[in-house]
Amino acid sequence: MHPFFHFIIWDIPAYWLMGVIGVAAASLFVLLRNRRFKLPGEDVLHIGLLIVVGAIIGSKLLFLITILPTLIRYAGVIFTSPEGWAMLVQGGYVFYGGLLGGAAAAVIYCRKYKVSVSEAAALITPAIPLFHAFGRVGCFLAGCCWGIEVPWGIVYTESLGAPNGVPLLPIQLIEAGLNLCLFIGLWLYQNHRARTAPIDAWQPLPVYILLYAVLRFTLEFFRGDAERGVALLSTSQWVSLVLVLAVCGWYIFRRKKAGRQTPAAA
Amino acid sequence: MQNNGYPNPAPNGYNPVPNGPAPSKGGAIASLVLSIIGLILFIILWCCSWIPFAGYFMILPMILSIVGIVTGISGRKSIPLGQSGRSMATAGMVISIITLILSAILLVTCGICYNCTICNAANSGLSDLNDLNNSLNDLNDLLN
Repeated sequence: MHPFFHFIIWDIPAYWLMGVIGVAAASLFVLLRNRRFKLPGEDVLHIGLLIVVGAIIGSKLLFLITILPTLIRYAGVIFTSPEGWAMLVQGGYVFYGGLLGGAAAAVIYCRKYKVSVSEAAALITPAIPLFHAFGRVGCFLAGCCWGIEVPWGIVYTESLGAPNGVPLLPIQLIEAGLNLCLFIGLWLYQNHRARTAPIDAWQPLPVYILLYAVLRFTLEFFRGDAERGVALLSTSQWVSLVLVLAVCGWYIFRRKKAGRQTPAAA
Repeated sequence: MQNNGYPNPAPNGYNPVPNGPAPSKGGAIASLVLSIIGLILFIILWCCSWIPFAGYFMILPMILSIVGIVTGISGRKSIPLGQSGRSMATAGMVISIITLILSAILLVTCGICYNCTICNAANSGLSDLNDLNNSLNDLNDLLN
């Protein structure tokens, strides 16, 4: 598609541009939404910045872990060639690494400066799929994270990663659309629950993680980029499985805790 | 009224609390310094982008800006509003954000571009080995 947009004398990477637009859209949503949550504006700004920082570090780290077997196998070539260093420095960011890194950064900040973690999570969670939708459009424009070959697919002519001249399933756009649905669904349901309870009473984060993990696990079967995992499943599918189990475990733990407290209250 | 050794109260009855220790400005100073260094480094690398592979060093201003953001946030939280040093932390944070956005232009070209680069890198290494192997075979044939 269009990996670069030409502006005056510069070639602007489409992936970068969509990422910036995504961060801007998510930030605007959070700032406007905070009028209902009433968290200190300064803390919301700091948490947002740290999420971006954590996401960059986390996504790059998980990417490096993903390609570790390749790194070890071709270490002699990678670390002695400019192309190899370009690979390490330039492209390569995995969403799950960004999600975990951003979440870790936000939790550390909230714990250190005594901000309610659950309230911050309730405020920020719907913005995550909104940002992700823009990011996936960036993937589509750049030609990365491409889909399997289908006769009716999109044909790239100047992609940065996907094979050119081959009709491919536009899995990036499918995931972008599903992320947008996730964002709208979480936002509307949160508003619906807020009619009868405080807006931060319902925690959307476990629901988002569960839904996205199932979505991602399924979509990974339609990804056409190279081997990215261990034992038939990709790294993202393994992470999805772990997250589903973690969320289910958390729900079971909460129900048991609620069950223990109810007899005590009686 | 008994004084008890304390200074006389102000006419409006308000007794100001004695000032505590001054908040540390280390984070604020670190943020401003790192952000400026990062921005200067970005400008130098941008101007020298015609030099092969100079763009890859853009990771350095990116790292400096990330550290600048973190130290700037730490400085803003440790220095109360209105106290000296807070504006330094804010300036460091803002410059770091700008540097991060700009340096990411040259670094974030796509999400998972390693396939093409690793294949090229691996193939160039393997093709060198193949060439060597072919040369050895030719030499062997010649000797035999």
